[in-house]
Amino acid sequence: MGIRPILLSFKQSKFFSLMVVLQVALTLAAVSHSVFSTNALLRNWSVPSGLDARNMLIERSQFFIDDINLDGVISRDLQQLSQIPGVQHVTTTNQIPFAADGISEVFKEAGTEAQRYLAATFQMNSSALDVLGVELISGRSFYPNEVLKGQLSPETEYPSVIMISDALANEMFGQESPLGKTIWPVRNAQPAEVIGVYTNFMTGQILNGIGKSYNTTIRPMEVWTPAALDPGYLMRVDPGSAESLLENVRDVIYQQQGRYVFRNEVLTRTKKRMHDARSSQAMVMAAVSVVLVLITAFGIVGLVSFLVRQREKQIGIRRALGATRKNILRYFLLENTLLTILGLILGAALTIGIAVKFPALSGTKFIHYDYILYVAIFLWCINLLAVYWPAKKAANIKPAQVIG
Amino acid sequence: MLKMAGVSKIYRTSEIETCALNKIDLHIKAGEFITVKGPSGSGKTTLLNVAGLLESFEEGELLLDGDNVKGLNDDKLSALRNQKIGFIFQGFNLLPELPVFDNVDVPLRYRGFDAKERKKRIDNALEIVGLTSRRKHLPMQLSGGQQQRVAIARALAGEPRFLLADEPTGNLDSTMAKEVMELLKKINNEGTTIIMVTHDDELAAKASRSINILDGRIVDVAEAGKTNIGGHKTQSTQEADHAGL
Amino acid sequence: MLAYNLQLAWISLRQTPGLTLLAIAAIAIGLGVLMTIQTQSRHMRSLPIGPVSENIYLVQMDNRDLNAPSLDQSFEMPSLSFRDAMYLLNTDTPAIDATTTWKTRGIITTTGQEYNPVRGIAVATNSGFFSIFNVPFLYGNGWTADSDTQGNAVVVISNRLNRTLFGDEDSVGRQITIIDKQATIVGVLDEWPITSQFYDRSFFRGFSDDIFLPQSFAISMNLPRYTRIECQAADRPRTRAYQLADVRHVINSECAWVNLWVKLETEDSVENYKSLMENYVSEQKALGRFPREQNNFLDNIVTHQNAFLSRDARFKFYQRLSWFFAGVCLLNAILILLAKFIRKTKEVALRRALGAKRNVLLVQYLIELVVIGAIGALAGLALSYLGLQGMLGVYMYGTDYEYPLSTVEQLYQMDWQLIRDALLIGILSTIVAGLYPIWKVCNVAPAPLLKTE
Repeated sequence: MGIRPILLSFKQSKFFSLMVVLQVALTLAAVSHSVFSTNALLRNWSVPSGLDARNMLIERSQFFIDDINLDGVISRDLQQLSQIPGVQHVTTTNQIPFAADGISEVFKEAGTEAQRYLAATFQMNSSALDVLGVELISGRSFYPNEVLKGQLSPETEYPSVIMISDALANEMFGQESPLGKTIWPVRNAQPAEVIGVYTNFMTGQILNGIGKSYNTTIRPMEVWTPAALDPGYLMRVDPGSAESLLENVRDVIYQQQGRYVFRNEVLTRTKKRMHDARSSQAMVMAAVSVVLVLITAFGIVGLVSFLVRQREKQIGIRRALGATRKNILRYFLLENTLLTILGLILGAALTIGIAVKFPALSGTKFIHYDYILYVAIFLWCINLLAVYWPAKKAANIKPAQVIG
Repeated sequence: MLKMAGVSKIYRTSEIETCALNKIDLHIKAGEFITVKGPSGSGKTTLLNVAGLLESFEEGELLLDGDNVKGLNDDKLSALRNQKIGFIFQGFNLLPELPVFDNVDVPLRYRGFDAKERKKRIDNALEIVGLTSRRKHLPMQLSGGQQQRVAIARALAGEPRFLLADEPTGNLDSTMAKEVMELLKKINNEGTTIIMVTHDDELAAKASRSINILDGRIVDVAEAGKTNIGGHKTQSTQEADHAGL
Repeated sequence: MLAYNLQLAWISLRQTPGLTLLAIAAIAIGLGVLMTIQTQSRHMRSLPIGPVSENIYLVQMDNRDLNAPSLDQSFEMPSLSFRDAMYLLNTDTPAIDATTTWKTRGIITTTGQEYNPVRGIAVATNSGFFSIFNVPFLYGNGWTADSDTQGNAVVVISNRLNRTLFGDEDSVGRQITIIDKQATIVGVLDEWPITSQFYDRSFFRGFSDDIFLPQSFAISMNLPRYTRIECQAADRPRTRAYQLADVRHVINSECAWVNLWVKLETEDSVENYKSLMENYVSEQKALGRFPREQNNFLDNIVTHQNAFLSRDARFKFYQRLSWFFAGVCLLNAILILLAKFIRKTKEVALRRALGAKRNVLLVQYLIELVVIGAIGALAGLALSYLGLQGMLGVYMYGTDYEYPLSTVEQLYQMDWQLIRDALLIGILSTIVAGLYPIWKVCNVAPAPLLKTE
């Protein structure tokens, strides 16, 4: 069966055809935009964290009394926290995994022209790897005597050793072994020698968003600055005990006057915050898109059912003249496909036009032309399914009953 | 070439059973022009639909060119209709959105001919019915007689062995009816078997055989040129007659 | 006749339950999504403190470097330096009321505390704050102008903080400790129906601020400047220090960090205030300040809010998507209604043959449309309620329940305007969707349809 009779029937029902085309076009534009947005939101969303967050605790507090020498406080805290039954390892930290959005630039050479590598720098003590639960791939961890302690000042000499993550090692040195290499954790500042490479763990939202989820360095530092009197601790605890230890950990801090705890949580909570803001929006998008596709599909079911009823007699005549059921089915599928393709082409143009004219979400790459194609194919399949049911009914029309 | 033996057709609704055809025996030879007469609701159209493989039947056998059609699947029936049978309806049943040319084209498309063959056949069929000049017109731009001639052309294009016509002149005035009738006669003379349902005695008289049908039974058969032989028969003798048809 | 038409409409709806249901569903879902997003949008755009928002202006005078990029929008322009803000606050101006604000924070404790310390977000401001912004009090009042000049240790606290510290009791006259300084509570805020924190230019909608204290007191305590400080090139490296270190440095700098709000009720006073600003800048230029060409802004809260909202790319995206969505649903409704009404062609032909005028039939089908639209609108209303609740839930979940429900849920509330809009848009769009179909149906010529069959 040819296309010509179908084209002729479009001419007879211009309005119908136009509406179907428009509907498909708008649906494609709307769904493509939701997909773009969902994609932008969920890019790298589901990469594994490399951390056993359920068994890690964070504790961040702040002194609101000036003129505190934190040296004593930090060693007291570390000692008392590690004595809590259930706490296995404790380290000080400047950043928290899943929220490590203080991004630093790391260099392979000195000088202002050096190429930068983005990473999150963690300042932790020699328990770092035990607390994080990541494994050493090569080299060694810090010796306790390498850890820089005390108040940080502009004159402080930074530690001369550093560990970097597998991902960062790959990005900076490729296949070469990074061990023994010198890197500059701050542009033109004191360099440090890479002594160890450890398995990857999650940084935070921002690095995750740009595809550098695992770029980290760990420097052996247990330090504080007068401006921010806020020592932070990361702990590894006995499996399953994290929730019950929160109270004990908080009490250790509040035993001292003048302190305020502003974060006291299991690391899963931090992880959840990193993921949920994006996933919840993506969920809304997905739900909206599904409903939209359903609406379009039901509309097409209703429409084709109507067309079938409209054309009962015509179908009967065609059947009498020798059309098989398959011929009739194919007629409706083909008719719908033609309209759908027209709509999809228009919709693709609309999608691209809108996305280019109003760049919705700046920063990341938003339009993906291949996604438009996938959405279009998906919509086409949905439309075929939507047509199939009423078209099947059309094919079952008994010619003798409708022609007189 | 078409043989019905004890064909019965029953319409069932939840409460009522209607016997539309009751043990019909009918043998139609090639080249015949048969008219079927009878009052409204007597089963004429059902007979035509069954003969045209548009409707199934419950009992009996139907042989088309010696082949039993009972139990054939829908696709096979469609193909048979397409190749061997042409339909002409009272209401013309043209596809309104298609021009004359494309209307005639419909059965040829299903037959799977190539474009050249289709064009040849369409042109030929249109020439037979004398509508070559109207090939680009839409049905509604034509008169009733012309529309019916298009329908005839469509039925002829596939060069069917059978032409089934359901009151082809019912919607036409007498001049047009006559034109259509002449055309059918001409087609019959060229070898196509025609079965035609009609109310019109005058038209029926032109046929080679005329069947009267009442309540789903054939009650009367008249051969052309002969007098009505069944007019006064009783029910029981009629049945005896059928067996010999 | 109306009753007859309604009856016919009802019969017709029941004749084609599938198509009718589809049409209603399409309208309801389109409306539900549109209303969910538009209601949020309307709540976002609603005047932050009611009609008076239009009479309260932010004073901005461009005191940036010569090589700073040129700005033609007040939204990006820095606030004022401390000295300019204080001069304009204390000099004689056409403003009926005025106040300065900047954000700070401190750890709050009370003597003999039985609970852990609380971190309070604080606003350093003036006694004018409470009058210019119509701040309602649960207990007590704002402080007097004397406290502004003398730097008295007085505070006003939010009812949320009052609940935390004193369990909703009248705490006026009691002491709290901000970091290490004692201060006397003079007032406790009631629920303050502002939609966002416009007064610090953040338009933030999470926590409400907990503590309001005289700027002079905040300065004497050297509280941190928890706010954006925009400095000229010479001061820029010290910006971070200006937030935390000795406040005296930043007070004497050219850095901009103080918001000055003035209330002006007439066009004239706005013009007068503008010329006052111009004169002031000219005078200061003579003293070697204000290196750039004069570029002053006096925009009200509404203008600032609009500029803020126009930056919310994600929300604009949602809005655009909601229109798309409604468009698809409306097209769908048109198609379904067309299908539905074309089935009536024969009925129309018959009625017309029986003497019905075209207009009578049009009215009949219009009434049917209105019935469909009304049912669709009600269903859409129910869906928008679910949608708003769902969005609220998603937002709360997405932000890890960090912000109090009471401040967040403002954006997700159903109100009379939503109900009115939903009914209006629902019925109107149904009529728009159905107009072509019924027009087409009512214009069929009756004769040919009746003849066949």
